[in-house]
Amino acid sequence: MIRVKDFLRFFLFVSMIMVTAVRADINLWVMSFDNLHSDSEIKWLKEGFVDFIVDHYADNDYVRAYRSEKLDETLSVIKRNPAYQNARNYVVSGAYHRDKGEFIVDLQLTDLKTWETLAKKQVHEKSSDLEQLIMTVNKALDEIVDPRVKESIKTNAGEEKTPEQEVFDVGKDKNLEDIREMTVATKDIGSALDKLLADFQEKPEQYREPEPFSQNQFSQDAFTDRVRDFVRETHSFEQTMNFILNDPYEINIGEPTIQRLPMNSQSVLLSFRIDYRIKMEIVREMIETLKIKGKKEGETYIEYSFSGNDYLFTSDFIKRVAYGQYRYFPVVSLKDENGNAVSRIIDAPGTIDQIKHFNPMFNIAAGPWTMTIYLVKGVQEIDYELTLPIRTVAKISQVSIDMMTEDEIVQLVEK
Amino acid sequence: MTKNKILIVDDEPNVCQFLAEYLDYKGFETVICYSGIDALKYLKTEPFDAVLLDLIMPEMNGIEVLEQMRQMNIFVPVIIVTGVRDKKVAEDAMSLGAVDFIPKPIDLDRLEQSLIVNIKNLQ
Repeated sequence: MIRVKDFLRFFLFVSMIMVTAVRADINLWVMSFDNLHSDSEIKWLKEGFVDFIVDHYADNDYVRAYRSEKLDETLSVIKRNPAYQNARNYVVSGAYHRDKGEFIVDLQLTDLKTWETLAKKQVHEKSSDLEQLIMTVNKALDEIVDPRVKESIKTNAGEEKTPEQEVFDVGKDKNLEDIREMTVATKDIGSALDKLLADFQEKPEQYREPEPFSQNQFSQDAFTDRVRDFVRETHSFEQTMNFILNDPYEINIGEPTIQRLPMNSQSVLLSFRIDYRIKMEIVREMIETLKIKGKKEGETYIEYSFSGNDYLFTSDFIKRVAYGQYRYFPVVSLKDENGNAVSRIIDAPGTIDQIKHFNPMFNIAAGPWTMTIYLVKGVQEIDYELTLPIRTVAKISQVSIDMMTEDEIVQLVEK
Repeated sequence: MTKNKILIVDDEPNVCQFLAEYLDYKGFETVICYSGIDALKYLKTEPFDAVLLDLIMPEMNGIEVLEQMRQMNIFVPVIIVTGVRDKKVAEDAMSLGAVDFIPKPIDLDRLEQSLIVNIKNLQ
């Protein structure tokens, strides 16, 4: 692993963009579900339900759903962030089990301010279709969340806005909302930076290894035959690719370090490591539901080829592949406590004086009669370094990563 | 005023955190354990006012924890918090000294009431 010494040697697009956060009336903090009977076949749904719920509310104007990895950290984020404080914050907890082939899912909504249980709902789903189960759970959650939304709208209509709320309403910029939300990893680094800023003069800290992957882990049993059947029966090649590309990366953000710059007392060198890897088990399982023409596997890669005799590759799909619309690059946002990006690193191919740093680990190549998928094994560790004024670093409380296509990056930069 | 101290034993970190935050809000002090073995170590060395115990855990399940507590003469009110809804299991737990049996997903009001009643009874 080569540590990057000179941040100018690779392409770091750092923009000081003040992007205001989008205010939601209700924030749902979704915790991992409880697999009541420790059923290993459906263990993956612990995190799966969280993803489905977060996706379900991605385009909702009034409700935002976030994964809550650790409840104490969630509470701390809410406490430090006026945008969240002005909204209603509810925790969604759930539990599930199977009984005689039927899925039983319990949902609970708890107010994080009063710890009052606002609503509970139990849903039964007899269908073994995963899509149906997701829809049932999302619908049930809507049923317990919607009354709170109506209540919130009614209350807000009767209230005068505080200056802070005005700021967030102004920030609800349509242009910004058009940017597809694809934040795949977020980490609060505010307290770590505060500590580092306090004592960086005395002893610059050694680089710390990121913690082992713990987020979004899917085990082998993540894909039961049921999921495989679901994919086989209902999805074409293209749909399966879209499904995989919705979230193929597992990302881990390391602790930041700060170093003084010898010739510049006003700025510091902020470094942090990000590890990228493909959710290999889940992606493999999904790809292998398709009819494969050929498979090659080496120490560092797996290559699958698919024949046009088995699948119809539409010209639109081939064009999208050729134009790189299935290639994603990381956009690292350093955010303040209000969720505003104070600095961004766009780690993607550009036009001037740059060395591409992140290599996509999921690639599709299109030919007239074949389609090839290339998966890179292992972990891609990247050290990012950037020089920032001390006052800017002091504002940073969170780092989050969005995986974007080159088109989306261009849109982001233009805005 | 001294806070009542509760030991939460569950191999699901999210369940533990949720209960800990709730109980903290309600004025209890909490300690979290993710296994029965660790729970027994704590119980040997620290006094607790109540234990919230899950039944299905790897290595040592909740019933085994209760049996060990009995052998070690540790008498703390134990409230079983579990997804198991088997009457026989509930009876086994009660015969080993559990004072209440709360099914998951947990009704927080019921849990608070149970803690208040059982801690008061002990005192």
